[in-house]
Amino acid sequence: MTNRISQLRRERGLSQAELADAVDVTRQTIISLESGRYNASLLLAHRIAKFFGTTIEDVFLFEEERT
Amino acid sequence: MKKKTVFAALGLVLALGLCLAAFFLDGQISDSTGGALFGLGGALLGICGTTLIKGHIEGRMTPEELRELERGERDERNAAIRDRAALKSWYWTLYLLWGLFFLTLILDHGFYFALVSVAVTLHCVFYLVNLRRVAREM
Repeated sequence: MTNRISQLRRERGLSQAELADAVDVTRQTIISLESGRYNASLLLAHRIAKFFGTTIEDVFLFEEERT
Repeated sequence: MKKKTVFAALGLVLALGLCLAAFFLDGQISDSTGGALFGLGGALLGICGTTLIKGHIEGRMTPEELRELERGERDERNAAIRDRAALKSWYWTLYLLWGLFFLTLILDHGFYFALVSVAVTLHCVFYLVNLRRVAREM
């Protein structure tokens, strides 16, 4: 799963700390999310999408895993 | 003063009392009782001491730093890290116990073999009990 958090954040001129503050997580979590090392829970994904005023599908890009 | 700090301070006094009792009653009480007193005192000293130090550090923090600390504790990534670390630790402890199990079996230490067997069993039973509890919660 990839995401557009970094892009959306930059478009709004926000720092990682400001976004972390807005969605009530640590800055390290935002860093991990942006680098793709951590996948957000549905609750956090919802909070992030709501903060950016968009949908979860618009922020998080789901890809079918190939087996 | 916070209730937690009062309990921690009382615990610290109790811990020191236990350690001093074990020290001064050496020779008058059995070695195992002395060891138990020292062990209990030491454990209590660690828990209460940590609580007091943590309380002291938190007391000197600014509201902003305190908020950041609280956020870090409920942060979902940190929670996931704690859960994964706990699970890995469970497996490491299990491997260690299995190692000791075979060692005591090979060396034919009957008492320690029984002790390790009980520890392995309890370790796995606790896991199964918690699996069931968590499954019910979800």
